[in-house]
Amino acid sequence: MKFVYTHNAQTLTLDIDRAGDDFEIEINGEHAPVQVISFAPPRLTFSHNGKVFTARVMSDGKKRWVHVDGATFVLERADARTQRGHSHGAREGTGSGIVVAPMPGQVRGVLVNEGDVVTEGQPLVILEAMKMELKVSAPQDGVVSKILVTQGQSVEREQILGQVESNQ
Amino acid sequence: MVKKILIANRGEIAVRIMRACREMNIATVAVYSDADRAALHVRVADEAIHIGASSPRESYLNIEKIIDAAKKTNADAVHPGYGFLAENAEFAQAVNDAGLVFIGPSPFSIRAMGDKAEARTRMIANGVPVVPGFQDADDDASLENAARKIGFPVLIKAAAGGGGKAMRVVNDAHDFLEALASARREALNAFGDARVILEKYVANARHIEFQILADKFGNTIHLFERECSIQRRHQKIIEETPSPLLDEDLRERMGNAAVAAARAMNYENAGTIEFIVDPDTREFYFLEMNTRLQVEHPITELTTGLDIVQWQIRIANGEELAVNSEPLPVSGNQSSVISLQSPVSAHQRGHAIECRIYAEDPSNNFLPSTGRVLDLELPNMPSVRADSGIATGDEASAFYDPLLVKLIAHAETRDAAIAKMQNALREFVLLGVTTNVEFLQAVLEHETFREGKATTRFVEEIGDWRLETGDWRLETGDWRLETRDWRLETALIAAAVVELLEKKVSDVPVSSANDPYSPWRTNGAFRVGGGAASG
Repeated sequence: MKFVYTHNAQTLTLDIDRAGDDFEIEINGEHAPVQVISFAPPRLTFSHNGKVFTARVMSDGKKRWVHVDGATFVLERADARTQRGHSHGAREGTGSGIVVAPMPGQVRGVLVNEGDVVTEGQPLVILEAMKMELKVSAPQDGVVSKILVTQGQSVEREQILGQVESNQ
Repeated sequence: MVKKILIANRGEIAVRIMRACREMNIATVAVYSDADRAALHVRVADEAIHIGASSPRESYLNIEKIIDAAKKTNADAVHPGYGFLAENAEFAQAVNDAGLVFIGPSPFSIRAMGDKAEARTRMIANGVPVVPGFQDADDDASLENAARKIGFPVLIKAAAGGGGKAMRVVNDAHDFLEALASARREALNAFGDARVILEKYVANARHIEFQILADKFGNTIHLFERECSIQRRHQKIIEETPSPLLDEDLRERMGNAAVAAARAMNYENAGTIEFIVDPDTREFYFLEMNTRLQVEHPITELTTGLDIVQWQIRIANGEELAVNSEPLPVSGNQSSVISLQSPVSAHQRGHAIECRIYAEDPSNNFLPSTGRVLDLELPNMPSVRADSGIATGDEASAFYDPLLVKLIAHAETRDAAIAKMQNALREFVLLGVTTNVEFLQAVLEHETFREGKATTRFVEEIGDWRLETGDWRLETGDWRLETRDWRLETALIAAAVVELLEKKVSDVPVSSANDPYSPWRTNGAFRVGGGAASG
């Protein structure tokens, strides 16, 4: 069975077959046996290429949080990308003028109205989280075509706040 | 004698104070907001009272509701912790007026020293050196004018502030008014007071503070310094004691200045005098006094062996400071004994470091992250302390401070303490909320930190953002653990294996269910979900 995860901008693919506690994995064309020694959630102990590893694994929607020896990884099941635009894609979508929340929090203020002409870098929305205030600014010169949030509202990270359409 | 204390706070500090109370056989009352109705501090307390909505202004900053909660539960004292109302003189006064003991200094001291403007004025009057600045008026025009006179970069600080909240560095006159408005809004929200002061922004400074303890009998001592130069957004992330910068002479001069400043106020209970030190000239300047318990107090506790929170309670109870016990055997030159011509002295042994684990994403400009803590494991090793405000299943909410856990390590030398902290961070597990743990590891690895030369600009100087991949890099290379690759591969395998192990039989396609080799047909030794998660 094939699993595809994204980690940061990287796509990671792994093929895995199971027979009882024994698994056969394939990463980048290399096959290796994996044997589960114990699984007391969230702790998984297994042997791989003759060495024993312990990891802690928790699921959170499409995310898999995995801790291995001091390093924490968030692997996202690749099929999650169809749900909501890939996070980096949303952030890089500057050409579209889409304005996203860089952090989760509450909307403390909406500084512009739909139809306003704004310049690049002009503050549009003030977010607050954990007592910290953050201005979200216009990604380009243009007209505010959409404002999708109101003061007092809670937003998630990467949630679309509005859009600034280019004049050209 | 105090028998029941209401803790007017939340998170790790509320839990830490409750622990001190338990050890002193004092009952505890928690207060909580909507968001915190099942929070760890509520679960640890003997009693808990709901005080309002999640927004701090409607709960943890609501004086009336907190006093009501104290009366309702027959508490005889209130401990404010840090943040929220800890440096609010009106609150301390209200506690006293209700016939309760406020565990902290007098409302007079809080007003005088907690107010940055008045504190500066008083320090100047007492001959304590202060940073060039402006505190004489609060209208926008006067401030803008003063900023031009002081010269940019200028630091805007909340007059009622502390803890790095509502601070703005302004590099250019054009940005001043906008930064001022923003700082005022944040100050109003965090402290209920929009007044600000200005200070010349001293680049490349060291932030070094002295812990003060003072009783009702005029005994005022310091418990040595804490070096707090590793900061981001003016908030400390790593603290240590002793400071690698100070020699005995500078330590003595700064310590004496700190004690003199507190004595000049007839200061009582625990407090901290913050200085900035120019590492080139070795000049020091008074920055502010925090008239409360400090987040980083544990490093002082580990090196002095004193329980500062218990001493706060004992002082409030009218006990005399009597920490002039025989010094413990010392090793190396890191230890010293302080005697300040009072019957009281304290000594320090070895070196301690604290790392603050924040709910924030270093690869996203250290912006806050939120979420549910899916898994938490605290390190368990000799001389490591973990002060946590959360447990598995708890929520890191956007309403409150991002501080989740403090790890504190103590060892004989600085190098040994760093090694111990690295080990502790490696064993620390927190899944479900993005934290700064690997960034802390990177700082501990960094040459400048290891040489003890980091200034308050360290975090902004060491790296540049690589937004395209969301990675943070230090000038010395990848900040992530050197051998992260095998860990990523192990994580990938573990994730996939767990997907299969946790797959419900109903999820397995029919073709697979008919497969004679399918694990789902056999009833092997392995049981999905068998066994409890263990620590």
